[in-house]
Amino acid sequence: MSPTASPASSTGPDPLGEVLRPHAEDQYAHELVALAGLDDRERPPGWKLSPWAVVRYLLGGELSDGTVVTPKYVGRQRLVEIAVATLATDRALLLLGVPGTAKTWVSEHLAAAISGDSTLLVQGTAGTTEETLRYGWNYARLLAEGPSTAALVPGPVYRGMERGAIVRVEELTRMPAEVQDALVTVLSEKVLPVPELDTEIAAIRGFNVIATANDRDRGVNDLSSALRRRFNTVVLPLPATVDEEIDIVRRRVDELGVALALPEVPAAADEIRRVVTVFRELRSGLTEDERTSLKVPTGTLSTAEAISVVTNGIALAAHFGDGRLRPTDVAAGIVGAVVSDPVHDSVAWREYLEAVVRDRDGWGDFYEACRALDS
Amino acid sequence: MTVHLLGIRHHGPGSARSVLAMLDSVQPDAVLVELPADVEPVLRWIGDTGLVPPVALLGYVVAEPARAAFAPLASFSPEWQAIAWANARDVTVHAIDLPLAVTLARSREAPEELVSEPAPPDPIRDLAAAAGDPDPERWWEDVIEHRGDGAPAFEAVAEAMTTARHGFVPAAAEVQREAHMRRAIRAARRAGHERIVVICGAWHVPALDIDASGALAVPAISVDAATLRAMPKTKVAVAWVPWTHERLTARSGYGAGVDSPGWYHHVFDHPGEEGVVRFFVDAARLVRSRGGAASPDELIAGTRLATTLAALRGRPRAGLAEVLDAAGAVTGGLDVVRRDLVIGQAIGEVPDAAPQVPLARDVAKLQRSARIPMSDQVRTVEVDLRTPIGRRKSHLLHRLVALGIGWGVEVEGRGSSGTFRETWEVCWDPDLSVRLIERAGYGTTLESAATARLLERAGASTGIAELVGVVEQALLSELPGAVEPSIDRLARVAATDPDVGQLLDAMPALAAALRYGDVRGTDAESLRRVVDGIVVRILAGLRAATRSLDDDAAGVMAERLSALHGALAVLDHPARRSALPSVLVELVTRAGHGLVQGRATRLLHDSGNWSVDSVQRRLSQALSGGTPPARGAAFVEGFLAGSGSVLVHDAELLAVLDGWVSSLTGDAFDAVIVLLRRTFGAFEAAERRQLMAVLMGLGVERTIGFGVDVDPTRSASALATVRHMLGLPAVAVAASAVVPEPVS
Ligand SMILES: Nc1ncnc2c1ncn2[C@@H]1O[C@H](COP(=O)(O)OP(=O)(O)OP(=O)(O)O)[C@@H](O)[C@H]1O
Ligand SMILES: [Mg+2]
Repeated sequence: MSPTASPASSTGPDPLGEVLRPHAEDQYAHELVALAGLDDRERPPGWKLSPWAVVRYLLGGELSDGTVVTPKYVGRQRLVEIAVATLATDRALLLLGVPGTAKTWVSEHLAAAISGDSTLLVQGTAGTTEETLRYGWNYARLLAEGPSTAALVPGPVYRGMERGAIVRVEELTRMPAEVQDALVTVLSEKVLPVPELDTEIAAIRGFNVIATANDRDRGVNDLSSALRRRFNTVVLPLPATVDEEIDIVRRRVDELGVALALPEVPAAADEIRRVVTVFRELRSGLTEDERTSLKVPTGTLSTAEAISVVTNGIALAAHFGDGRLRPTDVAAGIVGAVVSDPVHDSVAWREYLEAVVRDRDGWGDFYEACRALDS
Repeated sequence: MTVHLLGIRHHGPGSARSVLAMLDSVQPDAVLVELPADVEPVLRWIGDTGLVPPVALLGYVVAEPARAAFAPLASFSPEWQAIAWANARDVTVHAIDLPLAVTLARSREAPEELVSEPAPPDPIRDLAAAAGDPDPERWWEDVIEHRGDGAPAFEAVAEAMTTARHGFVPAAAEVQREAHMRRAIRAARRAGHERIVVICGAWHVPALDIDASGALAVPAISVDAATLRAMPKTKVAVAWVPWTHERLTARSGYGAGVDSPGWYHHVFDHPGEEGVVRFFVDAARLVRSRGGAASPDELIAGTRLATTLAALRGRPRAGLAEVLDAAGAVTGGLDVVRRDLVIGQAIGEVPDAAPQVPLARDVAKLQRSARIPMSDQVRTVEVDLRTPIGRRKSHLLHRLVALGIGWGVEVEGRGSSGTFRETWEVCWDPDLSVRLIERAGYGTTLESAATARLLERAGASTGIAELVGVVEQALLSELPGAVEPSIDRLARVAATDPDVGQLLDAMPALAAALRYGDVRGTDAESLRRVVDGIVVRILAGLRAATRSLDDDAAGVMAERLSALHGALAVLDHPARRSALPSVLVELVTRAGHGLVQGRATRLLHDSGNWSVDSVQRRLSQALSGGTPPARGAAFVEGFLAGSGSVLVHDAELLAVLDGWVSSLTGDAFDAVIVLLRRTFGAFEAAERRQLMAVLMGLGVERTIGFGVDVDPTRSASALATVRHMLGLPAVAVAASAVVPEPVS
C-alpha cells in the first residue's frame, strides 16, 4: 500500500494542488514511495518503513535511486534516532521543548513516515475531554437504536488502535489530569474498554502515541508520574548555531513560498541571517560576540517566528516592494515579534537597537528602518 | 620460535579480553609489554592482592623528584591483565620500551611539567574515517573492543595499521622507542623463549614485526644499535602510586585519557549482551539510592531502547552512546549516572611493601595511624586536640598543608571558636599524590619535609604578614624545627619594618598563634618576646600613623585599633591596661580624623578606662558647634562601630546624640545625613527598632535584641558558664539581676 493511498487521510490526496497546507504524507508522497521501494530492512509490525528509512526521511539525503529526500528536521541525528527507536520499542514518545522547536513538525512527519497517516490528532486544551480522546456518540442514533457500534463515533485514539497507527497528542500538559489518566490505561493495557457495548478495542500492532509538550507550560498540568513513565522523552533543543538556524529558516521559507505561491524573491540570505541573529541574541541575552549582555524580551522568539517574519517579509517585498527582500520588509515583523509586552519589551528592544544595531557594520539600513517605525 | 604481536588500545577492555584469550591459547613463555624498561622490577607486584587498580607506575628523577612520568593502569588495561596472567604462572615479563632514564633525561628543558607521550598521530581516527565513521572511539569499539575474540581481532588490527602506517615517517623519539622495543624482542628470542607475546599499542605493530621482509621489513639490528647508541641518561627511581578513575580521564603518561573508565570497567567485567541490562540495573539502583524513582519497567524500556538504537545505527552491540541515550530518554537523572557509573569513583591502593616514594610511604603510614581514610569523597573530620588521636590527625593535616598539599581544608566547625577543636574537610585527589612526589625533595618523612619547606618559605619572605603565616603554620603543625628559626626571622623583619600598619595587621594572627602555642603546650616564649617587641613598636608609632588620614585610610585605621585591642585582650597583654589607653587618650584629645577619634573613644569606653561621664563629654564635644558637622558624623560612625547597642544601654549617650541631630541646621543636616544613614543603616533591624522605641519615649524591652521573654532558669545556666569562664565565683543569680536595668 502506498502511503498516499492511506484511507486515514481525511482530505485524501490532493491532485489539484488546491489544499493550502497538505498533510506531510501527501506533500512528500514521492519521497515516501521512493524510500519504501528501496527499503529492504526489517519493518516493525504495522510500520510502513523500517526505522532506518524513517530516520532518513526526517533527516534527508539522496537515495541510491537519485531521489532527493528533503531534510525535515535540521538538528542532531541522535535525537531523531532516539525518537524513532523509541517508537519501534512500542513505548510512547514525548517530545519536549520550548515553543517553536519543531515538536509538532517532527511528530507529524514521524506519523506520516511510520503509519502513512499524520491525521490522527488530539489537540490538548483545558477543554479536552475523554470523549475527544476515545469515542463519543451519535446521539440521534443512540436515542433511536440504543448503544450500538453504529452509534459510536470513534475518536483519534480509538481509530489509531483499531488501525494500528500512530496517534498524535498535541500539548499533552494542557489537558486536564483525568484526561491524561485515561491515556495511561490505553498506553499500558493497549486496550480501550467500551463498557456501554460491553466490549473493548484491542490495539493492532503499529499503534503508538507521540505526544508533544511545551517546556514553558510545565506546571499548567504537570504530567502525572504514571503517565510520564509510559513515555520516553526526547528534548528538542533550540538550534545549536546561527548557521543551523539560518538553514532551517531558509528551507522552510522556500517551502512555504512555494506553498503560498509567492513570487521568487532573490537575495533573501542577508535578511534571513539578520532575523536569525536578532532573535538568537535577544533570546540568549547576549550578542554573538559575547561582549554585550542584553535584556531578554518576554516573547519566545522561536525559529518558527523567524520563519514567519521572513515569509511575511517576502510577501511584502513581492507585492509592495521592488521584488527584493529589504531591511524595511523584515523590520516591522521583527519589532512585532520582539515587543509582545509593550512595557518591558519595548525597553529591551530600544536598548538593543541603540546599543547593538546602530553601530553594527552593514546594519545601517536596518537601523533606519526600525527607527522609522517609531515615528 | 614465534612472536605474537598483539596490537591493543591502552585501556581498551575489549583489547584486554582479546589479550587474555590469546595468552590462554598461545601459552607464551615470555610476555613483553610496551612499558619503560626500568619499571620492569616493580611489575612483579601486579597480581599482589594489596595492589588494587587503578594505580600508576611512577618514574621520577632521583635528584629532582618533580621531574616524573606516570603510566596509569586500570583493571581493564590490557597491560595489567597480561602481566597479571604472566605473574600468576611465573612466566617471564619484560618491559621493552625506552627506559625512563633516557626519556626523563631528555625532558630537562621542561622541569615543571610532567612528561607525557609525544602525541602520536591518531591512526585510529584515520582508520575510522577510511571506514566512513566520523567517531574513532565508536569505530574502534565496534570493530575491536566488542569482539574480544583473540587472534582474529589482532590480525585485523595488524593489517589495518600496516595500511595506516604506509609511507609514514616517525619522529626521532619514536624511532628510538621502536628500535628499543625491537632490540628487546630480539633479545628475548636469543634468550631462548619459544613463544613470545608482545603487547603494544596497535600503532607500533608493523614496526615491531622483526620477521617481516620485503617492503614491510623493519630496520636491521645494526641500524637499531646505531639509533640507540650513547643516549644521555639520568638516575631514575620507580614507585607505585594510587590512582582514580576520575584521573584516568585526563590525558597523561601512557595512552590517551579514556572518557568513561567506569563504563570500560563494566564492559570488561560484563562483556556480552547482558552487560547492557546490568548497566541499567546499576543505574537504577544508583538513582534510587539518591532518592529518585526507577522502576523495573523503565529498566526494560531502557534496555530495549539501547538495543534498538544500536540496530538502527548499525552497531554490532549497544555501546556507551546508546546506553546513555536510552537512559536519558527513559529515566533522566543522568548526572549521577555519568559521574558514578560512566566515569566511576574507583580509587586504587598500593601495599606498604611495594616500592614507593619514601615521603609518600611515610604519609600513607601517618594516614593509617591517624585513621583518616583516603577517599575522593569530601568528608568532615572533627578533631579534638586533647586526645592523642586528635593530635595525630591535626598534625598530619596541618603538616600536609605546610607542605602545600591540601588534603584537608580547615573550616569553621561547630567548635572552631574553642581552641581545642578543629573541623576539617578532607578529600583525596590523586593530584595530591603527584604533588607529594613533587615535594619528595624536601625530605623523606612528612615532619622533615614540612619543616624544610616552612624554613624555605620563612627565608624567602620579607613581609610581616607572610612571616606570621609561616610561624602560625609551624606552631599549628608542631614543627619545632621550623618554629624557632621562623620566629627569629619574624623578629628581625619586624624590627626593621617601618610600617606600623603592617605590624598592626599582624597582631590578630600573632595573638592566635600564641594561643595555639598555649593550647598545644609548645613553648612559645620566644614568640611572646617577639610579640612584646611588636606591641612596643606599635604603641610608639601609633600617633604618627594616625596623623593626616583620608577617609578610607581612617576607616582602615579604626578597624586596626579595634583589632589591636582585641588581640591584646586575647593575650591578656599588660599593655592593654595602661600603655594602650594612654595612647588612645592622646589620639582622642589631639587633632585627628573623626573616625579614629570616635573609635578610640569607644575603646576607652569599652575597656572601662573612661567613665561614662568622660565619654559623654567627649561625644558632646565632637557633636557641638565647634566641630564641623561632617567631622561629628564621622566621630559617631567610629564610635558606634557598626552597632547601636551602646546607645540602647546608655540613655545619656543617646540623649547627646539626639540633641546634636536636633540642633543641626537644615544645611548641616543635609551635609551629614549620608554619613549618618550609613552608620545607622548598618545596625541590626532589631537595634534600630529599639532605638526608635527609646527615642519615642516608649517603654523598652529591657533585654537587648534577643526577644521579649527571657526564661530566668535557662539564662541562669548560661550566666553560670560565663562566670566560670571569667573566673568569677559562682553565685545564685536572681532572675531580676539578669535583665539590665530599665532605661531612663
Ligand atoms: N530544528 C528544526 N528543523 C526544521 N524545522 C524547524 C526546526 N525548528 C523549528 N522548525 C520549524 O519551525 C516551525 C514551527 O515548529 P512547530 O510548530 O513544530 O514547533 P513546536 O515545537 O510544536 O512549537 P509549540 O510549542 O509552539 O507548539 C516549523 O515550520 C518547523 O519547520
Ligand atoms: Mg506545537
